[in-house]
Amino acid sequence: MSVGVDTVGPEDGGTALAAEYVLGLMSDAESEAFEARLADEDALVDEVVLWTEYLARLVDAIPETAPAAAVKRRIEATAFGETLGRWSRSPLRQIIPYGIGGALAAMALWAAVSFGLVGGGGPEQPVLVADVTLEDLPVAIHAGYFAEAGELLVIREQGEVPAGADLELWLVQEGAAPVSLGLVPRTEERVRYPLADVVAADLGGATLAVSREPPGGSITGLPTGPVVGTAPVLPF
Amino acid sequence: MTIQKTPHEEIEELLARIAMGDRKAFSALYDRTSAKLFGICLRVLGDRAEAEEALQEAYVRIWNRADAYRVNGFSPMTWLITLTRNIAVDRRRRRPARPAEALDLADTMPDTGPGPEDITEERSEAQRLHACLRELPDDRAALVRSAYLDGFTYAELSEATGIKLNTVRTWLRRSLIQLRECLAR
Repeated sequence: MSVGVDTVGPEDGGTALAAEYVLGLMSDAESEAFEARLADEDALVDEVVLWTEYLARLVDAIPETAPAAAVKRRIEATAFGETLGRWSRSPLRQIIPYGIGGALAAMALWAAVSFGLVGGGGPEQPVLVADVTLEDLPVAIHAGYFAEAGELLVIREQGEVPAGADLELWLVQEGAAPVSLGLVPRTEERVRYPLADVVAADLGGATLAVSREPPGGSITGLPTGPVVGTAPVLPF
Repeated sequence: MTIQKTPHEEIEELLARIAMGDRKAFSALYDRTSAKLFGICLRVLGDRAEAEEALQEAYVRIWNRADAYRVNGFSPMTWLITLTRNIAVDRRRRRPARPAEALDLADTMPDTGPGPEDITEERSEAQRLHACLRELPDDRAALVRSAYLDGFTYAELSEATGIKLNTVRTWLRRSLIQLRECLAR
């Protein structure tokens, strides 16, 4: 597209803000305030587009590097596997009642959806998984812990995070305070959270719980809203 | 006689086909753009395994969201570059804190300008950007580059350069405004 260069104008504070927004230099609060302005100010949107276009040209200086051939296979298995999953998952849900079949369903879904076993799969597999469906909300969440990467992969497999709230994941152990693991992703389908070793060590045999929290999650470090779903953390 | 498509049009067409679920188009787009996008992931993350994960996240998102491309009004390469850069930067910021690598503002990447395969419109944009960056003092241009290419926050820029946080913020904002004034000329 062609870029108009005299929209907001450099003398307006908007241009530096737009650049900071594109560069990701704003705090969450600043970003939110800026996005609220974007909703009303077309000139500011143009400014963001302009900075995005120009700054993207900076990558011309980066040398191109071909990724290993296996990466493409993995990407296609994941991408196409997810597409297949859209059709194959729902029937599974209908025939396997939750509770007794939950663990089995979780494993089958992990195999088919997360790791692209359809296409041969990659070497990376979770050691622990949990599969949470929520009460009152048509949301299904899978979580898997990858020991090697030390990461918890959270997939919002069905449904949306409700507007005006966030869903927070907690690790619950008998006799201990819940530990926040992060928020259920709102815009993305999946997110990876690095887990501290001490938290990861407690995962096996614990319970994963999901609570409804104000936007951004609980600020107290403990669940403040209702718990809307729980599931045991099981070996994969 | 066939009419030659520009690279811009070809990538747009691939994205349109991907939005319809065309796997061959996805494979073609990958072959065409993955070296560039992987270079970005490597630059931001500095680690091959992490860069591969970021690249995977980027292409899976491209596959799932190709239909969103048109909505934003970006050129197709800008959409791909921005999506990939932001995924890589998000990953770098999420990983456990480690000291920012020292950034020597006097010794930064040369301004090589656009590559030969850039299409005309993007080339003229790139030329204007690089010309305007050259108008900035070298250390200020390096700050702008680092903020984009390394995805450094103000705090990280300050740590990496040894310049006070507020000074870095002021310098970078002024540089951006100066850059924007030059681009508007």
